[in-house]
Amino acid sequence: MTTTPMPAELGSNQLYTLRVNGEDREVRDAWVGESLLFVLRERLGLLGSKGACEQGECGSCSVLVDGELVCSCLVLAASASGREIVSIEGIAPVGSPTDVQQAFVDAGAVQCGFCTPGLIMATHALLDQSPEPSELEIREALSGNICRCTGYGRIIEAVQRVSVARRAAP
Amino acid sequence: MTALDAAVGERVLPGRIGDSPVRPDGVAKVQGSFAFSGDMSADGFLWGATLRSPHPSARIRSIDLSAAKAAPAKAAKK
Repeated sequence: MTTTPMPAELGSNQLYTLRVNGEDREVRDAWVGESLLFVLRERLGLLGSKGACEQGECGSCSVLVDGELVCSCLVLAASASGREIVSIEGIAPVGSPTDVQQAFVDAGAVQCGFCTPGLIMATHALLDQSPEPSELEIREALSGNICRCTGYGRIIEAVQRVSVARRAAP
Repeated sequence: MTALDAAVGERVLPGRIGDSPVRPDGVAKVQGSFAFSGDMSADGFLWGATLRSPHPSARIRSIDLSAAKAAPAKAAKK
């Protein structure tokens, strides 16, 4: 990803704390203009959120901030201090995928996988708000996440599988 | 019976027509742990930056490299 050099007049040596995936993480010597995506990836080493367009068009960097789905490339990291940030690394323990993650694997909704973490976050956000979405609702909810490999048929099928399975076993 | 016939007969060959194999890197990709090239790192990595004109259709007359040259470790400049 591209990095923006720090304009000297904005000052450095900022210290703030982010609550990420249930842990307080200190961010030291940071320019306050850095995006949440940059801080997650480059400062905190959380590489699951992907940077592609860096302008909120592709959804690859999607994370939850206080439960709200956001493009982390458009959020100033410092402004997310004091909020609960959940990235793809925090959605499930390693080795035990969520029902959404498993459904993406089972439905063949993953190819190159670059858009996948963002789509997983968007799907969790959708199903939390609307447990039984129509296909139109699913398409609308995932319209901010661009996939260049699969088309969207299997991705939508994966979301529908989770919805049906959750209804069957509440 | 050839070896192939025997193997097919015993159904030991993976990836036959009609199979639906599980994607081997699927779980890593849905968990965000699959490393794309931009996620990789190594000791001694060189980091580059491209400096472009901040103005559209402008002619670049000079580039001030003094800050880059003052950096503690540097490999190549232009």
